[in-house]
Amino acid sequence: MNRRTFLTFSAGATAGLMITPIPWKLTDDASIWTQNWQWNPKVPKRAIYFAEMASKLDPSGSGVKVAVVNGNAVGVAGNVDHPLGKGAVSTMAAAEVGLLHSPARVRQPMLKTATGFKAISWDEAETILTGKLSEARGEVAMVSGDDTGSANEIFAALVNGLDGSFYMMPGETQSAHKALEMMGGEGRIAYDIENADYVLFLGADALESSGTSTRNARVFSETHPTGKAASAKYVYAGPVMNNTAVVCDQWIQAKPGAAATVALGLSRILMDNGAVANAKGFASFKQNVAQGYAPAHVERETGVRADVLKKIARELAAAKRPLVIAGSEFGQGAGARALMASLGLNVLLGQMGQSVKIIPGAPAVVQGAGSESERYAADVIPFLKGVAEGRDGAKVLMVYDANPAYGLPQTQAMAKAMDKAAYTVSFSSFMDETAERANLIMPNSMTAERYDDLYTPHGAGTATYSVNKPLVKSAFDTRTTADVMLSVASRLGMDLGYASFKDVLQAKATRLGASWSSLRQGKAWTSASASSAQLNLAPCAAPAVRAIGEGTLALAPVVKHNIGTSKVAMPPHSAGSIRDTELSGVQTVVQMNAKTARMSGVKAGETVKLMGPGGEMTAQVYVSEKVMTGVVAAPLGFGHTAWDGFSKGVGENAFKLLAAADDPETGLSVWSTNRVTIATA
Amino acid sequence: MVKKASSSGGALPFFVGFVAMLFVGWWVFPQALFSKAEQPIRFSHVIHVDDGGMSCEDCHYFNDDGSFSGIPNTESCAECHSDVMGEDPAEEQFVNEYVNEEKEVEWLVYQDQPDNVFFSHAAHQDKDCTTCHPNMSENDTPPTHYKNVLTGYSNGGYKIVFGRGVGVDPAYSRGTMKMWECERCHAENGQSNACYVCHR
Amino acid sequence: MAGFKEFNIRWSMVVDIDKCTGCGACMTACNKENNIAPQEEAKARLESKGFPTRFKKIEWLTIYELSNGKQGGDHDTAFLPRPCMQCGMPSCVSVCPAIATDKNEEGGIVSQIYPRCFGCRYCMASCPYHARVFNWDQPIFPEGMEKQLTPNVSVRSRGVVEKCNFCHHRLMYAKDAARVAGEDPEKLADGAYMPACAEACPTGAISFGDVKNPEHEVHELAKSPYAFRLLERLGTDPQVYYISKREWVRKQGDNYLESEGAAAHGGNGGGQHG
Repeated sequence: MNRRTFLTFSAGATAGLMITPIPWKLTDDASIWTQNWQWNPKVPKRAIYFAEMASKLDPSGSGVKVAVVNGNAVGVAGNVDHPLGKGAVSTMAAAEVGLLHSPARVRQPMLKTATGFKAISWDEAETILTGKLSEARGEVAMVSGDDTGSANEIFAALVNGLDGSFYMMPGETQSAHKALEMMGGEGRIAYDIENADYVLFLGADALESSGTSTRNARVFSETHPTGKAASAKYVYAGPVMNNTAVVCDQWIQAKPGAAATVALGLSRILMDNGAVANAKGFASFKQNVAQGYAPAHVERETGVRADVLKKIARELAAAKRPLVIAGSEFGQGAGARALMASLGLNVLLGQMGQSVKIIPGAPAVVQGAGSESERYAADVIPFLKGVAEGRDGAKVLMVYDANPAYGLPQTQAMAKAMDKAAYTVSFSSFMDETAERANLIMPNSMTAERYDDLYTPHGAGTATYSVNKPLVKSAFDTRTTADVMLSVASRLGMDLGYASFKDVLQAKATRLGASWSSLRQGKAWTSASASSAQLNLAPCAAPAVRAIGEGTLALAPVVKHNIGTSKVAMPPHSAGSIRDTELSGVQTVVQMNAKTARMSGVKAGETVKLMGPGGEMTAQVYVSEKVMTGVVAAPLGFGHTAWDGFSKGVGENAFKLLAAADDPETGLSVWSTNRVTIATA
Repeated sequence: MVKKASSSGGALPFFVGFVAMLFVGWWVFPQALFSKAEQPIRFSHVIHVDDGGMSCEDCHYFNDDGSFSGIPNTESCAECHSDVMGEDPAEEQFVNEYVNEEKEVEWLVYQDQPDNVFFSHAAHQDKDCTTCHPNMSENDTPPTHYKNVLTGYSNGGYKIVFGRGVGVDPAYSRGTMKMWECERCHAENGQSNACYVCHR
Repeated sequence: MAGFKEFNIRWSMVVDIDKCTGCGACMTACNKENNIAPQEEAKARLESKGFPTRFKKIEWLTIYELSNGKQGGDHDTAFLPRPCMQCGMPSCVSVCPAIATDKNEEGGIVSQIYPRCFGCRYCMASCPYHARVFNWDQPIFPEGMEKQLTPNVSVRSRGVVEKCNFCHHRLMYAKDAARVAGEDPEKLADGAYMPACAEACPTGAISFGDVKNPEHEVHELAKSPYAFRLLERLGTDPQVYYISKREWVRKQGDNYLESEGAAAHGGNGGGQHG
């Protein structure tokens, strides 16, 4: 072949090429290729189906609908039929589905060895736990952070059967049980916020982190219709203009932990104006309140001006259905006093049985579990302090649905307790600070993957009960802890009366008189029944808890569920909603007003060191008038040392600053009145 | 020089090159451009429709929320096929590998559209299914799935011919449609061609 | 100025600023619904690259915090959630060289077609609301999380602009539901179509509907004497309305002179100062 032949051949080939699809098809396809991004993850093409679930990660227990595509949970929608969700999706419920594949999840049972964690099988894990428990009989302890589940009954029955001790994590539910117990009642406190025309929140961050906040927020929305006049007045008293205060009709500046004193101050004004209550212990209550709590005294103690206090008292007295909801600004550490004082005030306002009801607690169905209030009786703080100091022995310490190594005051001591206990078992779904310190991790399945139930969180309006069933297959080799413990119990030769957790839930439904089949479909059960028992007002006027620490500023920890809860670190899908006023880079931002900053000699943007009775932290200062004078506000939820890249090493943990003090009157530790010192770092 | 020209064969090399390129373009190129795959299970529509007496809507129906059920999942199939019913090896394979293992079948979709396309079956319910899909009810063995390796688009289960299928109404490929096909039908039927009518 | 089409339906959001707690549930719901990849250590990573955070975060909905600037007891705060305004006169559409963004569908939602965008970011520069974000990085989902993508929205690649579209897929779903129920998909009932943020909001601060349909609640709300729109005097004619009974909040919605009072009503269109 010569050159000419080749050229002729090429010319022929080129002519031929023009009438083949090659150039035209390739051009077209190449342009499509550039638009189809085959390197991107692909979305599923199947129809979306919705299944109902009550969020267990959301402390307000809101019911939602989970969007399921092809067996994967892909999203969350509101459920208008659920009494605690009312169609809304709270921050934590919205994030819950996104956590199913969180990088922080524990993927299978893990055993700690000299070189780190080693994956083991469930059978091995159960064998190890059974062995440890039978050796440690009498020195077994368990801590649970699940305030609404029947799983606690199985745990308590097992631990009681081994002569061990069972603790609930401190929080509003424990405070409520203690308050009711001291006042001679039993059950749960219910707030009928739906029908209240005047709501006073004393400290309680009731639209964000306290009680049934999702439901409260929906009721707030209904009583404050957009574009129309409000049908109820909402007032918040607290040190920080938090998420609740910012939308309330009025914000009253009150020092951290002032709820009880303000409630008693209001009671005093009402009684001075002739208010009486036909209740047990009223005389003693009146006498004790009259001895202190004059408006001028309350102003000195709490920062609430006497004229404001009087005005609020007048408005409360004039309202048809007033409601006072009290609590700690950050949901824990108030002990029982705030609640007792507020219950006294509600009784004075004639609202017992009206705005405030006592509703029955969850009936026990597992033999040997004891009653609900018995389970809440013991205070975990002194126990863990004792373990940390080597005073209390715990040969096996088990932790369920809680992260005591992170979310309690004196965090270092609590973390040390995890190290000091001879053998620690964590049932956490996530590699949290407690799991990281555990000898054995037996990961729990998440809400959408397991059977579980939810009975009436603190502050609900009526008794409610929801059952969750597995909506998706477990993402990892995890199991429902309640089922694991039933199996361990039978290995130990104990008969708790049930073969599976599902049977426990079914028994509970029967005890409540609820329909199992409708519960199983995700429909919540509610009951209007309320107790008519009279409360004894005598213990309501207990003396004020002193400030903890010697610092110049009062510390106001702030909880926001997009940053996380004391159990769950910042969910990946919430990371974008963290504000510059909460986190700067990886530094926690604390807020104080201009006057406080001047007094403390610090400037906006400056890095400072906060020193509290529990420990120290560094933070950046943001000057905001949302905080009352003399107070520094610190966000809780940062500073994780475990978890995943979304939360690990981001900011510092403000729990470290806090220290708990004993309150012998109530028997519960308190830590809502900590003081800190500030210095430029 | 003249002599040399005649020895080079005149138009012959041109013709050879022409024919060779036609062969490459119409035979080799399609083989290279399209990958072939068979369905993981030999699903017979004929058996289900003729022998089983099922109607199309038994599996392909609209949900109340307006979504289209599409291809049934293993759970739906297992309503009948919880155990092996017949003697077909494909059914046995399905029960063993998918029903018992609770696994979803990775069906190959002949009309799979890219992620950025929003297609609504509800909006097209007055059209005949076979406007866009091949007539599957007459299908005993699912056709080979030809997939364009460059674009990922399928050819609708028809033999590889560019743009359209063989023996098909030439208007629509019945495979992965390209934008112009959607747009043309919308225009012909007086429907909007605004971006968000089809994209997401 | 070139005119844009008038539509019979005008999907609108009315945000009651006085009811927003700033909790962030809308943002979390939005991120999940629209397959926005979670960003590991988002803030630290972004800030270390030296860009202002607001230009580097991928979020379609942002909540701004407003302050009346006063000290002590007179101080007041408000939260302002800001989605895409779906402007009637969208400046982003005029500047797009690729027609990747357009306002051409009934309902007035400004579309954004990701594969068509080549990342020039003119639209971002032209948007007075900072509603648009650019994918500086390839979206990375933690292992396994890509199984949890919703079928609703395609995943965007590095190098394209994205923005809020009022959860447009939910409009499509609502229309499909209407079709299957035998109803007119162009006459959706109030509440049939609701973006994820409006649905999630615990305090009900976000109302949504067709502002031109008297049967929809937003029809009246947008006429409220307390209603206003952001930077209304630019003439962008946003489809997002805000309501606040506080005058200082309304004044911060636009660049008012010290001596001016805030707009009493948002329905009067823009351009008085043009």
